[in-house]
Amino acid sequence: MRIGIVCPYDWSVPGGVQAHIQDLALELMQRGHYVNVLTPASQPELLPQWVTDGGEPTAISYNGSVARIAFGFKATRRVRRWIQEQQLDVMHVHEPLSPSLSALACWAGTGPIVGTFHSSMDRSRIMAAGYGIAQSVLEKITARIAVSELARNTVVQHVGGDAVLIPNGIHIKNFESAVPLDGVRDERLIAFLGRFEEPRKGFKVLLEAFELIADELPDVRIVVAGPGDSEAVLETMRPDLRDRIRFLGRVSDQGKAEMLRGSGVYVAPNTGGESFGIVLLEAMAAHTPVISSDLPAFLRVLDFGTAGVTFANEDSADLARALREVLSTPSLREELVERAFERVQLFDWSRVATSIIDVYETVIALSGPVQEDLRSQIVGRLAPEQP
Amino acid sequence: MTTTRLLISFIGLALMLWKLSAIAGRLDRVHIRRDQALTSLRLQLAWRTSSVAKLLTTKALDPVSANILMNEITAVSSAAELSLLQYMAAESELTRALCVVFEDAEDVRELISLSPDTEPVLRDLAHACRRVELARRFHNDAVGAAQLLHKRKIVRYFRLAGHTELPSAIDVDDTVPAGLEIL
Repeated sequence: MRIGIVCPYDWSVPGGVQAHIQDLALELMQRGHYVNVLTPASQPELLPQWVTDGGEPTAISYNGSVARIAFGFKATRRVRRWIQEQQLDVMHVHEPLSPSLSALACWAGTGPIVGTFHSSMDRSRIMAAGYGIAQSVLEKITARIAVSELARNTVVQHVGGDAVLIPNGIHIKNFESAVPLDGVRDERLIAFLGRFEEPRKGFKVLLEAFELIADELPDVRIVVAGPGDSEAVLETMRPDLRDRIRFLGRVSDQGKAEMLRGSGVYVAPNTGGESFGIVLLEAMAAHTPVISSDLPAFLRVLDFGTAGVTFANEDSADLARALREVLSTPSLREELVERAFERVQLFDWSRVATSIIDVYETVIALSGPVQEDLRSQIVGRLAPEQP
Repeated sequence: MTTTRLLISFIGLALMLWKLSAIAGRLDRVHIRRDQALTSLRLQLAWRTSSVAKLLTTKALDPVSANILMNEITAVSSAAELSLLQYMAAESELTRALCVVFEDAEDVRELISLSPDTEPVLRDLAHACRRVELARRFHNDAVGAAQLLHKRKIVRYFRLAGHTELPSAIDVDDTVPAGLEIL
């Protein structure tokens, strides 16, 4: 199959959607399919051979936040040329509701188009993007995929229609076989991952809980991976606890796997704004027990508390209870790890990619290849013909 | 004064015509998408039927199951010529029969271990069942988009849909048999 994937966000900046597309593309290529990705890139010289530069992204303020996207006549022209040149059997656009190359690709192309929805948006944001635009883009998408139940709700409730749920994938092997941080797993080590300065990551909840259990469990320590000012955090802590916390700074994917593999428990105290929770899956793949806040997205990943322990959101006393339970009951840890590892199999890329290929095969069964849509909207009509 | 008025009404008319042509284009596209989705669904169903037929040639199933499945695929093949409603009813019957035969993952595992040559056939069947479900959902999604457009006042007043009928969603039981989920 010849598959074209359109990425809405800057390839040179790490992000969830970009990582998803890269993993998917590599998995598809490994199975012998032809894949080409079209994406905006601020550093086009660093793109791998199977990625096409969709133009320099511009930072514009859009709906209260800054988005780095490629748009305008130049971008439209590049999208059209890409569609002409690639001779695709199926075009897979990501996040088609965001104003980006993805929406442009839907406009410019016709034929089998698959759309994947990653984030959950509220209705006002979709309305702000232009409901009419959203509808005319959505009408061209033959098959819709949502990566989480929340993203699916967004599609079903706010724009109407259906979406098939295919979760985000992870490479279980990379986490299962990683060398633990410091050589061996430290059963008394609590792992935290993320920008700890952002309130919604809930690091404060973890610190408070740690102070509650620190005296009764004197050998328990914390390791933190993620960018931020660690000095500022240390200053707020009880002086005698300061040497029991370790900051790794920003870590690579490999470093993340090593940290999870080397810890006795992974804690996700996020207080909101999570639509999926891929790190939970990564911890599960690394055979590390998971404790998380009871956000709906996390509950779904943990199969409603069977594959991990949950605590009342923002309640540090409840987190302290969960930590005590998990840290001092080896049998519970074993049980959690076993059930979590069974659960995480559903999210391995081998499984996820097969489901996505099923979708491709269903949509390309009959209609011809992806072609340029000459009847598309005004922006496209004005773009000059490519020689 | 009159020229300005004329100009304004001319621009208004042009905009109106442009809007009408855009909507008509969208309608056309949505109908094509729906037609293709329906053909795709029929194709996936045909693939499913042929996988069942292939499974029957392996003679690995017990005679009663084999007989019932044989009956169902014959019924499906003859219903393909009838109305969509009757055809989908026949396909739903086949689904129900498959769900009974492949109710349990343990039985499927045993079948594979007893006669290993059924594994690729069963795998094809599981694959086909999953794609039937996908195709049905994509079809109904296209129908939803078409219905949404048909309902718009501009489409009704200007009869932009012409004589094309308002498509309706397809109701077919496309449950993937529980025992085949492991494949």
